[in-house]
Amino acid sequence: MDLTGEDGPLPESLDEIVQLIQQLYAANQDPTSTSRIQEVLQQVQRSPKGWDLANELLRYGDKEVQFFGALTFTVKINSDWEGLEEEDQMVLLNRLTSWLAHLVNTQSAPFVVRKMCSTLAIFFIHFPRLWRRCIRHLVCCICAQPIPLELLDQQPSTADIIRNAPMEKRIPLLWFCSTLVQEVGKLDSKFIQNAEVHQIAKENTSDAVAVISNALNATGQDLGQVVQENIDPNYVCLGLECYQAWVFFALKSSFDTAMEFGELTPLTQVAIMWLTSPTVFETACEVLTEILTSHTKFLGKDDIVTIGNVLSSPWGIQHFEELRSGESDPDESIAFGRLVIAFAELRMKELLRDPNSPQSSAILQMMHGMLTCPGYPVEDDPFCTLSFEFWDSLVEMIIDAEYEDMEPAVLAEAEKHAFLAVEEYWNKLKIPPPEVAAQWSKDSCEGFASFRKDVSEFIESAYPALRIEMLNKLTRHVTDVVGEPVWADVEATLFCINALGDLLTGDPQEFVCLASLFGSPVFRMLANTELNIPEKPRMTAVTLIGSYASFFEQNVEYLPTVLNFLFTSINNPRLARSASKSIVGLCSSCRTFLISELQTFLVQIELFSSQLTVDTVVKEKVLSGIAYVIQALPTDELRIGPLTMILGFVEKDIQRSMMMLSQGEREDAKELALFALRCLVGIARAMQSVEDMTEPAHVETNTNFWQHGEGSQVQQAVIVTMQSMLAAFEEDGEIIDEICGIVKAGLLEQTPGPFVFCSQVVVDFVVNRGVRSVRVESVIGIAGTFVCTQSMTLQENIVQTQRLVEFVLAVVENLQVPSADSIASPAAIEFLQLLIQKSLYHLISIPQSRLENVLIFTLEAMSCRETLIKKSAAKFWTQLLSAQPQDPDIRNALDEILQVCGPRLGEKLVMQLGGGCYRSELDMLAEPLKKLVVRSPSAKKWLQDVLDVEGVPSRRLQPQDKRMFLERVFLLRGGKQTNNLVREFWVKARGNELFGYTG
Amino acid sequence: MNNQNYYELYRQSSIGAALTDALDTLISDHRISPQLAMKILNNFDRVIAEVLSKNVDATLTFKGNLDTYRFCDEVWTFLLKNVKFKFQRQQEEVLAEKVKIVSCSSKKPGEV
Repeated sequence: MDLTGEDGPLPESLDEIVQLIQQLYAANQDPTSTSRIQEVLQQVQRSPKGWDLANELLRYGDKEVQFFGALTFTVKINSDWEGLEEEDQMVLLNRLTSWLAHLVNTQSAPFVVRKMCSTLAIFFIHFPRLWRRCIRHLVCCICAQPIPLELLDQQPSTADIIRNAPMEKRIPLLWFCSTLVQEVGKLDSKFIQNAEVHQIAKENTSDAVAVISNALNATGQDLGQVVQENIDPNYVCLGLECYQAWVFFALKSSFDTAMEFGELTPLTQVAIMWLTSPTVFETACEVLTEILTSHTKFLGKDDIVTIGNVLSSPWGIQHFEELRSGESDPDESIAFGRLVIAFAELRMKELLRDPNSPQSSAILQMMHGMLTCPGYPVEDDPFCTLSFEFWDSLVEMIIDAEYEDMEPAVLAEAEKHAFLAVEEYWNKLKIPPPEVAAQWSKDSCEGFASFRKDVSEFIESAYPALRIEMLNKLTRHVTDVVGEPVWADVEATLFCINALGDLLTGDPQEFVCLASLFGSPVFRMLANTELNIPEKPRMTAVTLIGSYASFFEQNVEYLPTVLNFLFTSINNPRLARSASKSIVGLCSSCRTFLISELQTFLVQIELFSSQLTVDTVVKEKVLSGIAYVIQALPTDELRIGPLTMILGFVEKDIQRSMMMLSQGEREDAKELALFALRCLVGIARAMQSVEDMTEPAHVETNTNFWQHGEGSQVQQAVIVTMQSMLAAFEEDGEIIDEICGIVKAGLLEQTPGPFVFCSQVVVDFVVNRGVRSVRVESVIGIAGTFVCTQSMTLQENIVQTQRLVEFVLAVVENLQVPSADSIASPAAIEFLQLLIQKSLYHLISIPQSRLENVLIFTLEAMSCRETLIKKSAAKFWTQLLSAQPQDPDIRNALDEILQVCGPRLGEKLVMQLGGGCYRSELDMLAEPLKKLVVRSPSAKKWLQDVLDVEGVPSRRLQPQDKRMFLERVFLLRGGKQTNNLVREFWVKARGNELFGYTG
Repeated sequence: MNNQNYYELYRQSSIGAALTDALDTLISDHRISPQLAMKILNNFDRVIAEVLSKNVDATLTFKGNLDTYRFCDEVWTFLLKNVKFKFQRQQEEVLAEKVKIVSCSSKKPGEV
């Protein structure tokens, strides 16, 4: 059939429909035609002929067509159920049950039978009153003969009917029972009509129990026994899954009403018994693990005791030993491991309260046994990754013991096991020898790394519980070493201690432990790069040093050793990046203690820089690190020498870059130039003073040293470098960004320094870029930082600010409308907002015609589609409306601006808040509204004038809605509740029925 | 687990707000119904909670002065002052004058 047309006629004949269904399920269909076929078939299903079509399709021998027939019934029931009269409902039920019986009798494909079961479950959901005893009725129809509902009581018991039925008729009953509660469970029982469906489904529990009992071969008066001979494992597994579905349903329904689990309860003992059957074991484990983990309420005391008894029985212990030795099937072993963990987590306190009972002892041994299986985690041993949650809960319990009444004996036992677990995990995270790791797949390597990360998180969680004793035990793995260390043990220890870097409490004992570690012979061996030691422990040691900056700050005697170790490590490519990161951290926090080492560091960086290939990231970090130490020197005079030296390394790169450029290698030249500039940014940031200053510095007399005095050569060299880079890589955005970084670092500096340039240099850099230059937003950002950081009491700064204002005005005039550039526009508006904050005078002083343009620009920005533009405009107007200048001239000028712009601002706000803006923009646009209502007496009129226009801001708003909004806005006087009011107004303007869905 | 049992607090996050904006646009364009949008938001409430608990392993530590705390309707609220945040993979610290922490129980109703 041709389906190329968009709205072609629907297929008329059954053959055509069958052909389409076969095409739909055929392999290698292209997605477009599949989706078109699906569309056509869905239309046919929903058409009035759908009922007959479903019947016809089920008559076909083709299983896909039959499946589609059952699906068509589901679609029709879901779409047309409300139109069915009671008589029709009965006819439909009889037809569906007959079809299911027919499909079962003719041994149709399982997926067709399951679909029909699901169709019947949907029927039940829509007509529960009509089909109250659905399971019993279906049992009769399938296993005996179709009978009217009113004759159900005259039939033998459900259990008897099933017992006499062949296996192929019993399995569909389990499918139906499971699907029924899964579908009903999806309905929220808080709604009255759903509560009824839940209630009627529950009335079927005894019949469901009969179906499940048969599958589980439960016998005896109370069904509490089981016969495991001559069974079909598939049937039992389905029975266990059905039991789980009913348990889940029973619990879900019991949230709202008191629920008796009575009828289902005996089945739990039967399900536990199935653990010992080899063929059903895995499913039984999974079902019980799920119940132990998520449906605990369902289990009675006896059930928990029985599970414990089975797990700790000789059978359980033998099974666990098979798991440890790797003799059993891995999936089954994991399922068993999970069951043990779920049980241990549920019974944690009880196990610890009576640790010597056979059951507790066996279970706790199993928990530790899972951490001591042979082999490496993930690659050989899948078990040690399973129990993190259990051990986390255990240490949480120890931490909570401080606030709860816990018996000291239980606490002591918990601590004992937590210590043991830490030791066991420590043992497991040891890195394999390189020749072993080389055999691993990528997944195994990643899995092992992820396991180590999980262990470090566990160590972190355990520290507040086990405290100093844990740190002590760990460090002793290193400090107690006699003779040649086992480097894998040392690495594992350092790895664990590294995890505690942020958790130390400052307890003096902690420092004693760390001092013994960093002062140990083993650590000195690690730091001695001339010794032949595996790389991994060194790498971990390098990271560890960086994590303990606070320790070194207070124990400066260790600093020279570790820093020399780090500086030597930068020559090893595999250690270099971690080492440079640790260098920056330590140099930043311990700068004053490192002054005496500065010369050594300079020698090291010289050696490092002289290498043929240098990792640029490492060099950048190391130069920053040294700059921190230079900054700590007591006088500017002392700083000049070492600073000139490290700037010399940067200068060399700049010269190489220029040479490459002259040879036409532009890309390489640019890369090198960017790297050199990044080094300068790092040095400039590191040279920033650490003292807090209350007043902005930049007093002319103090700047003399770097701007006009001895240091001026250094500063001049930096300025020349920046200028030469700008000239060489004209209009290159990345170069401009890096230079902005250098300038900004100087602007943010609190005291005079080599990167603190005079105002004119900074402003020249900005205004020389031109209004159309690339990264104009970064340049405007520098202008904003200038305005924020410079003292406006200095005449020079006032003059330079004027130049910046001119520049930004020119950018705005060039843009004309805010939507012209979604990055430059918000940057320009943000500059103007900062101007209001720091120097309103400069804004007010703009000539009237240009000021009007700027204000119109910000007002237009309020209705831009781009959120960033709108946000900057909202902030600008919030700031302007909040400004309360002391100077009467400025105050008058500001009032005048508001009188002129007020009506337009009111209009923009009403249009945006009345449905024009995105929902997420409401809070930011509510801010200027809040300020407006308290700022000007005319505000009400401005807003009212807009709201009075019919159909504005939305046709959905009635005049009384608008009136109410206006009155409430002014009643709230700019309070927080305005945000809620604005939200309601927006939803109403857009249509409550469409946009009120968020609740 | 029924969707109504999940907190809606992540709808205020940037990703939640962006999703709501996208849904609003789809409704305005008549491409989806509000009912579907509601379902999507319910799914979001569930999934964001799951993903944040299972897949996010980044950590940060912070220190500050605890100014006020309260526990009401299973919700803890902490108001902290002068808070210093330290991130896992970042050298620099972030300072905040005031921080409000609202913490809700991660356990689902009925869970023990």
